[in-house]
Parts: sequence; C-alpha cells; structure tokens
Amino acid sequence: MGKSLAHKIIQSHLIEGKMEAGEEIGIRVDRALMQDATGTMACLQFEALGIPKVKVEHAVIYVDHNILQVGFENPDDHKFLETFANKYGIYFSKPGNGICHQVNLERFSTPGKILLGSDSHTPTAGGAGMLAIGVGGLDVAVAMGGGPFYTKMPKIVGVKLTGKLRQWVTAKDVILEMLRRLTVKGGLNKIFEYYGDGIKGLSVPERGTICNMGAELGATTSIFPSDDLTLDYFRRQGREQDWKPMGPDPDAQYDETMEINLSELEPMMACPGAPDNIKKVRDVQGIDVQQVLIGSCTNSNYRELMTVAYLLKDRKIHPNITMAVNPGSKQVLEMVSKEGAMYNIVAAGARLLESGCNGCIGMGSAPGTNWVSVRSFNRNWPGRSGTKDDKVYLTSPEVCVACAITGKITDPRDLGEYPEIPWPDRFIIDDSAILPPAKDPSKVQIIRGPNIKPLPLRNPMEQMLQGEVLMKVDDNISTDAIMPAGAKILPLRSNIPAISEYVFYWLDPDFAKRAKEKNGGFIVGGENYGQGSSREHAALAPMYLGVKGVLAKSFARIHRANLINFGILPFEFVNSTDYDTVKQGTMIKIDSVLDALSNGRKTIGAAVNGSKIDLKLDLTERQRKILVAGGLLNYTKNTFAS
Amino acid sequence: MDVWHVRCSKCGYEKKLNLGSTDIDQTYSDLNEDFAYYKLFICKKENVFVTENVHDGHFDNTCAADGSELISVEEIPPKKCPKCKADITPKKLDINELLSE
Repeated sequence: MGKSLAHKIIQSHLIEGKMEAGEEIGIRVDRALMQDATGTMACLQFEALGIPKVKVEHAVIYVDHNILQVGFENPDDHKFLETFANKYGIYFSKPGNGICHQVNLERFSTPGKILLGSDSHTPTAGGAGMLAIGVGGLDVAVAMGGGPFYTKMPKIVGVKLTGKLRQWVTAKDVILEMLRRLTVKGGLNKIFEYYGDGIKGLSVPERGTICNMGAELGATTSIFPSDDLTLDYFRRQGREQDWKPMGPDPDAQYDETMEINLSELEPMMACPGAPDNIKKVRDVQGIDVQQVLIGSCTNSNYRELMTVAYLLKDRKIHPNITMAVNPGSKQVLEMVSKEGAMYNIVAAGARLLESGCNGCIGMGSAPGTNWVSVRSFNRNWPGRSGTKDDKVYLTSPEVCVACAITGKITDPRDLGEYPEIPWPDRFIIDDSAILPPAKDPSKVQIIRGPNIKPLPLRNPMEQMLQGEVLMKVDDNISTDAIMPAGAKILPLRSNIPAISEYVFYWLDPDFAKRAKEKNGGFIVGGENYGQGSSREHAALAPMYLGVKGVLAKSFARIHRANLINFGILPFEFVNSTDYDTVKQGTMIKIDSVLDALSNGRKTIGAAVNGSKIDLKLDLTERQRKILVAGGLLNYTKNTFAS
Repeated sequence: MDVWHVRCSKCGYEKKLNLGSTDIDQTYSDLNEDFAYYKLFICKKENVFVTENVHDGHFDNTCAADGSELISVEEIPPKKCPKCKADITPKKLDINELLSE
C-alpha cells in the first residue's frame, strides 16, 4: 500500500506508538520556532531543564509580535530572548526582520524535516514540504530539551487539486474554499496533504498561504510535496542544497480524500465572525469599506506586494479608506523597495508598516467603531482586531486592493486584466538581522528585565497529598476565570509569582492569599472544568500557589493535559454526587498517591471529613510518569536531559 | 470579555458569567485554542445559566453536565432568572477596576 508524504515523514521520526489514527505517538523533532509573545515562557521553561544547549538541530526565535515598544516590557523581553538565544544555541531574528513564518519559509524551511513552533501558523512551512506543527511553548521547550513531541496520530486527508486558478483567483481562495466546505472544526486531528496536477500551478509561497490557514481549519498541519517548484523557490533563495524531492507514493492511501477543481473557484471572503463564514465576493460586493490591511503571515510575500503595487500604479485609494501594508519580511520589503514598487503603494495613499504581525494580532491598526475592515489576514474572531464588535473580512490581497480603490467591497475581476508578476531570478539574500548563537556560551550573560523571573518547578509527587479545599466552583469554569487576561495581567506572563496573584481573581480576589496561607490545597470543580482558552498559565499559576490536585466531575481536555504537565493531579469523582459533600475549607487527604500512579491504579480513595470518596485516575502510562516526576519539565529533565 | 454577576432576589440563584471573546491582548500561547468565545445558554434540564466556548471543537450545543439541549440566550445581559423566571438585573463587573483594587 502506497504511503502519503505525511505518513513517510512521521514514520521516519517515530519514537513511540502506533501510527493508527487516534493513537498517541511520540515523534522526534528536528527544528524549533518561537516568536516573542510565546517565546519568553518557552525559553524560561527550557531554562528550567538545566540543559546547556538546545538539542534540536536548529532553533530560531523571531521578534515579530510585540514590536510596539510603548513600555519597558517588550524591549526587555526582546533583549532577554536575544541573550538567551545567544547562550543556548538558538538563532535570533531581530525585530524588523519579518514575520516568523515568512522568514522561516524563505531562509530555513527544509523538506522532510519536522518543525515544532510555538505559534499556530507554524504549518506555513508545509508549503516547502516540511511537517510543521503549531503547539504551546511547553512542547517546544521539551523538544529543545531532547524530548519527543507527543500527539494523537492524526488522520491524513488527501486533498487532490485539479485544474488551474483563473485570473484574480488566488491561493487564498483555495484555503477559503476548504474553510467553506469543512468549517473551523473540520480539521481537528487531521493533516491535510495536497496533491494532484493542480499543485503544479502553485508556487511555494502560495502553498504556504494554503498551509498557513490550515490552522483555521483546526488541523494539526498541512503539507505539499517537495517538487521541481520547491527546488525553483530554493534556487531563487540560494538554498538549493537544502532541497530534496519528497512526495507521496503514486498509489498513496489516505484516511480520507477530497477534491478541489481550481478552475471552478472564484474570489472569496470570510465574512465577519469566523474564518469559515465564506461568501463569494460577488455576493457581498457593494458594502462600504473603511479600512484595508494587507500583510500577515498568510499574504505578504514578494509577488503579492508587487501585484498590489502594480494595481495601485497611477491610482489613488478611495478618500474614505485608510489602508496599510506590512511586508512579510525584510527581504520582501527590500525587494519591493529596490524595484520601485513601494513608491506606487505610498503614492496611492497607503500607510507603510514595518515587517511584523501588526494589526493581525491587534497590535495597532484597530478599526474604528462600525468600520468594515477588509484584510488579507487569517483570523477574524470577534475582537481579534482590537475593536469590540468589529466587522473584519478576510480575503486575498487582490480583493483588498479592489476595495481600497473603490471604497466598497469589490470583485477584483472588475479591475481588468490581471498582472502576471514573475518571481525574481534571485531574492536579495541578507541574513544580517538573524544573529547566530555565541561560539562561547560561557561568556554570554542573560539579560533579564525586572518582569522576567525564572520558572518555578514543582517538586516530585508526594506519597500523601493533604490540604484544604481552597475553592469550590461549579460547572463550565473557564481558563479565563482561572487565570484572567487583560491589559494589567498579560504583561506578567513571564513572571509567575506576580501573575499568580490573579488566579480566580474575579471569582474570589482572596484566592491567592488563601492558597499561600494554607500552604496550597485542592480545587473542586463541576463538569467541564477548565473549558475555553488553552493557556497553560491556568495550570502553571495554581501550581505555583501550591494547588496539588483538582477534583472535578469532568475536565476540558486541553486544560486537563496542562494540569498534568504542571504536576497537578486531575481527579474525577467516581460518584459525581460526592461533589456535594465537599465545600471550601473541607480537609482532604489522599494517601498512597505515588503507589497508585506507579501501579497503574484506575481509582484512588480520598478521606473527606472522616468518610471516603473514590476518585478516578484515568491516565496514560506516560501521564503517570509525568505526574510522578512532578510535571513535564521534571520528567523531561530526568529522562532526556542526560 | 465581559463578566456579569447575576443574583436573583426571588429564588437566590447566583452566578458570575464570563461572556464574549477572550481579550485580544491575551496571547498567552497564540494557538487557535486561545481564541475562546463564551456564549450564554440555559440548560433545558436544570434551568441554570451555562457559558460555553462555542469555538471548542467538541462543543455540540449540549450541556456538559447532563447532555441535555442548550437554549441560546441572545439578550445580554439576561433579563430573567433561569430558575424562577423572575426579573433580574445583572451587574457588569469591571475587571480592570477590580484588578486595581
């Protein structure tokens, strides 16, 4: 039976588990990617492992998210990341050098390698035949420490592309069509592998666009074969040596298949609310637009900006429109500037922003009240733009320009003939903004601002856990309730002692004080404890406060994994009515915890007010080991650091 | 994200509800799972308010507690107690104000 490309790459990196959809597998990681918003915590987590140098073959930290330096916090983070990278064998891409995924595609993507990145759009590198997965910072830290990446073996979905994109129809429309068909939940636990004659008309950056927004499908990742077009891109980047041909077997079998005829696609948009709210541009045209933004890791490559420049030549943007452009990388900006195209963009009345994430993560360019904002970005979750009740449309750069010129949502086919912009024979290659690690790390001193504190670790698991119920909450408590966000709290994300003061703050402002006074204890929750945002701080901060276990009727799956990763035991009530027998202040004593974990016991007894209740220990073998060690970092340190 | 404090003076039902999207500057991990959107529902079986992250891949319009159907509450803040149907006036908690205390 023929194998898919994704299957081959996973198989060649498989360390543990069976490659059957849904089974847990452990895979070796070749490379790591971090950005500044998540990178500081990932670095602190790596530092806690006590390893002198990263163990992956290549790792890069990019500063692209928090590039507005309106206070000391962001520049402090950047200097920390720079010195940290220098010391631990990591490359550092300076602010202004570009968006991590664009720069990675240009300078570091390598077919057949596995890349783990602490950013959801890491799969962009799938456009160059890389198996690139977006994960939390902890997973990246563990991988850099030599640990495998564990995940459920995804289903591999073969997406056969046939036909050829018509003029004014772009790679963005391909992924919007995927979102239209499958929705934002359609890619969960799946890898989308593109193949078929249709891929021959898609360059690596276009393939990157499609893989990039596979994240919005919820997919584990997306991938294209590495073929002659990949070689062509690498040659233009001066990296022929990094290329090798890779693809599925001719008779490859996929878990599922689907087909898209590129010739039938039309310009499309994701309408406000969610990236899967897809409509044809023709069906929504005429709506007044106030803002147009072109850029992001999805659509900001050389050819896209040259197309934008061509379309704006000798034109002015509509007087009612404010338009901004952010090139994906320094390379793109240099190229477009050198060729004089940036003149057209600026002369037309657009604002030029630096290479970075900018408005795509709400870092500037927030739309005004009731504005319609048309963007070449990847997400339009309500509020993502920085404005509550925003009206953000996601589409191709071509549609963006058409809207900017007319002041209304406009089908770009009305602009006339499509400009066929060629790729340059050779991109400008200047890696001077990517700083290599130090040759002598012993001479590097890590510079830590006052807001960056070393990561606290839990001690190994105790045989007996004892303490009070510090808090009892009801069903559906979210991670936003456990560890709130907001302007005052988020800057503390690299300072666990400080951020932990806000655990459960709006439910009970005294929680942190009480937890410290009582020397830790337990939390009791109802159903679906820890639903919502995946933030690991909702486990890390309670761990710092001494929370030993959470007793709940049921757990949300991501938060449950986070609790285990930080050494907090997630106990489920065997009898859910026992929830009613405990209240805040109740003493709980659980004996023989280590024995139960080590012996694979499925339940454990807890003494509560003189009587006994049974708690489930529904854990995998690996999760038990992690808990015994006192969390994933301890486990990694013990297992892989040597 | 808004937090509403509901207290029914008639039957005593009380709950704090977090509704809407997580704050934009909340990029703790910048994974898609970070972008929660909490909507308000009433559990048909228990007659209580339920907030659910509708972006969760596993959310299927049923109550996590008992599997029963959830009825969407479109009017925010809600005007009626889900338990006794008496009029309620939820209070919006200002998180930043609370944090500065």
